[in-house]
Amino acid sequence: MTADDFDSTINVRARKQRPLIRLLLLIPFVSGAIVACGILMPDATAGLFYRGALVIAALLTAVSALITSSAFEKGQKLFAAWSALGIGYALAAIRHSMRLWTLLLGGGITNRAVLDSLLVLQNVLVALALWWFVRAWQTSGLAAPMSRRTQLTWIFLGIAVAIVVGGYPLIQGFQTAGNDAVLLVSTAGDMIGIALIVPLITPALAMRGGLLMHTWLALATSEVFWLLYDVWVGTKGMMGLAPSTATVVEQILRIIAVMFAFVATVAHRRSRL
Amino acid sequence: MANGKPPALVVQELLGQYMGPFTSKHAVQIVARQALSREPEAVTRDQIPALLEGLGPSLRTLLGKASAEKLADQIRLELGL
Repeated sequence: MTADDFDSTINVRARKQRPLIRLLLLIPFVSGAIVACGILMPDATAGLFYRGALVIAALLTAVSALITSSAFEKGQKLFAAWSALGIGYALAAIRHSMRLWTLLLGGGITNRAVLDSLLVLQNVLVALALWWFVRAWQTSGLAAPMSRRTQLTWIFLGIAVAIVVGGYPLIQGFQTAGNDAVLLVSTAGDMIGIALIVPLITPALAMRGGLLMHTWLALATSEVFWLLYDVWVGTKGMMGLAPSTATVVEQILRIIAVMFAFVATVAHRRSRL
Repeated sequence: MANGKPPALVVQELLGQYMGPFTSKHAVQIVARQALSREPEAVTRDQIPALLEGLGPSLRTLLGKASAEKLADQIRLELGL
């Protein structure tokens, strides 16, 4: 006999939520398909369209993450994680809005230092948020004991992937740190996020079959798409594609990455009683 | 209600809806052993409140205080406690 054999409120609710949460996983791909329509537009219009889509995606993620954080108390790791994710994406929404304003109306806040500071803060906050998601799981007392060797293997695997993908831009950032500190911090933030893919997948695997699995799975998938985005940005020049094609792929990967973070925020709310 | 089933295993299965069967089994086992010094199968109905209390910190970490308490209350209700 399993728990599903009797109609408890918990089982009934979980059975209702499961298909809804699975449907959420389609949102990033639908968003990617919408952004793909940009390829049919003239370049200038497509630029506005991509920027507008990013503003909406980042704003939705920010608001949803902050709503999710309200279920936790100050001092709890998931309060810090959801808050940092929400503020990070709110800064992204502000930065993209400033760019959109400039593209649409001209003028506005075009000060490089302001835009760069927002980018740096956003990267730091999102990297911190992901770290807190990993720590929340590790300190929950639910993580199955793993041998030190297995733990180290997974950590090194994550770091190796991060170095392979982010190493070249990071070295570039170090070499030109005087005038490109932003590239340095931004790439370092990406590398931290990428290195955390494996530690984020671990709780998802441990909680497979449970509603909470989807939160960590969506966060890890978001980082996988940021990884693909970084790879694409680093290699698109070698592909010999038309600029509009290269740009649309870049924007699709970016919107999917942001929307998976959004899915994580909603999935967590739907996983609670 | 799950007739005849050890109550800790019912808790395990209900928690499994949230944290998956693998983690809920691990969690119930750890708390039963550490807080009640027995295997989950041997936990009595009277010991379920203590078991749920032991699971509290983990549930609060993952679900937040209000939702964790609601879940524990619901489990108590479903076990007729």
